[in-house]
Amino acid sequence: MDTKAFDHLQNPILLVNKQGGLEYFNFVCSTFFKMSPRKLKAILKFTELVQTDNYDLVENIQKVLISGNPLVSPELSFAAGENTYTSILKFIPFEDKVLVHIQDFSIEKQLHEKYKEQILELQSTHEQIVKSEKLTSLGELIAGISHEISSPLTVAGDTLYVMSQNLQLKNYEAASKDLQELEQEFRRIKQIVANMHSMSRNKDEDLAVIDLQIVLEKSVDFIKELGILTDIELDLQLNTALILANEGKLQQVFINFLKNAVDALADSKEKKIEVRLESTEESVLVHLIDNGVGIQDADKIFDMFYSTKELGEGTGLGLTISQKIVESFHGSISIADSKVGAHFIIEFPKLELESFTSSNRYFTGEVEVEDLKFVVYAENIDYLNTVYQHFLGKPIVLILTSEKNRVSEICESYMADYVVHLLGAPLNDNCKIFNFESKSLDDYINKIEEVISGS
Amino acid sequence: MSSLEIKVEISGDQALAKLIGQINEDSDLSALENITAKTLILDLKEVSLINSCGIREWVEFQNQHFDFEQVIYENCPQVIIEQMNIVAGFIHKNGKIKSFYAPYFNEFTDEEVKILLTPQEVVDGKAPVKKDAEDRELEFDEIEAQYFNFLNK
Repeated sequence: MDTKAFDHLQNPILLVNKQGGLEYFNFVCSTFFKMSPRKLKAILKFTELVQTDNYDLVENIQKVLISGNPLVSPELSFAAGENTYTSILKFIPFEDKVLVHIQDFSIEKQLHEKYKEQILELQSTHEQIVKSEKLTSLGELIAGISHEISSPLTVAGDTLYVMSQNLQLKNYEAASKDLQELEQEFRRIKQIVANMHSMSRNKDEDLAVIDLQIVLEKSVDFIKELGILTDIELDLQLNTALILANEGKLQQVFINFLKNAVDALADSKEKKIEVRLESTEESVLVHLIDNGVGIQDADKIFDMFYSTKELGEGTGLGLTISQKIVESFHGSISIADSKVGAHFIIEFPKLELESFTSSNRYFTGEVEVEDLKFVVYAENIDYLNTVYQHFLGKPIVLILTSEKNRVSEICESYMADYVVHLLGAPLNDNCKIFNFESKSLDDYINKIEEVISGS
Repeated sequence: MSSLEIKVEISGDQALAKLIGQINEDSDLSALENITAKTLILDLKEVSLINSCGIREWVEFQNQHFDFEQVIYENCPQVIIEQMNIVAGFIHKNGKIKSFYAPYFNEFTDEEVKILLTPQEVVDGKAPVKKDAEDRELEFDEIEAQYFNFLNK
């Protein structure tokens, strides 16, 4: 039997006889098993060399000898000498013996386990970082809020003292002015608390139809209350733009961008921030523009821990988290070319597109062919939200819109079955589909329910 | 963390690099970058392991960064010789093996010993005769045709 050719192969090859005796091993076996040829020769039985509990080597060798057909083992873990291996063994009939070919995956298995462990560690670190960033933001917020509340409180306290003096002196006119001043200070505090409330009340997973104009205005108000916009010219070009997102999360994003813009303007003479909303066919764009120091490394600014601020002033996580939030609403952040300062563009899918994909995600995972598609039109956000929340999880597809002139187009492009015009909105003759109108929101919801159950 | 430590000493046109530890997927070979010398001597005596990922890294690294007139490999341990015999490209195109270890067995004391050989000692693929302190002949503890195969490359 000529086995010389096997000696030049890179995989371990052994020959086992009918009795399980080890008759031959090729050259590479001594390297593979980390045993000298002298030691290998001293091993008489194949099962003395290769030891595994989860696979009957003898039985399978006998099967091959009887059937004359090759046989491949599953992935095996076996011990040989002082080492353990993960391999697949192939048993091939060879004259009256069985040739055993070892395909080893030990290194791949070790690497797989090592990298799996490292990925888990990275995930856990990432979660800790996000948590710590949330705590840092909360700390900054609390510091800002307590500062903001303490100054009107101090003024109110002083005014109250002066008012009591005026009352004692029966100077009612002055006391009345003091009272007005007191009211004004308390209104300021109330506004700060209201803003805080709107930031915190939204759960992460709450999606709703929101107006970007309102969210941007609230974010700007919040920054104003921190008193850092005093010497900055603010140019707001806003209009109603509905999207499906989480208001609190978006406020976090806009506040982060606005604070960054304020920081970038620290050394500028003429400080200006422009916030502009723009609508395209499928998207809503938020332009955030400042004439500050500009962006040094555009390809790095969304990287975790990247910050151009002084040590201790920035965590280098704000933009990373903002990007993640925007992406969670199927949006994106890009940087536009600008000669002076920075120009960020945050893009969100329009309400109808996002509500359509959201239907896919929340209802059935994928749109079933027979699922009914409703285009729901209303100008009022609350009505859209009520319908959206009511039918969340039901096997229909809702496409929400607040743009009356686009209803026909939306019906066609999404091949909708029904169009629902809420609260007396004009019907659209171009839609081949079922229209109805009522003066009560409940009527509409009931009507949709009827259509679904009838189908 | 790198599993390999590299100590580099430069003397004139010659650089001596001692490699200590394991050459694997985590090994940091950057200490061997940007060495300005005509000759690089690699002392591999304390390399305890090299796996298939380490070999890939090593071969790629040599091809990218070694621009020496001569690369000398000395004190090559058995683990390195075994890999040289399996994988092409371990030795640089301007490389030369100065010395390497080979396994011998002392049947009188039942001891395995590694003896440092030079390529010149291996004639016609045969292991040189080595003796113990008692002048007793040792047995070469590998397959000669396999172990000395790297000398033919």
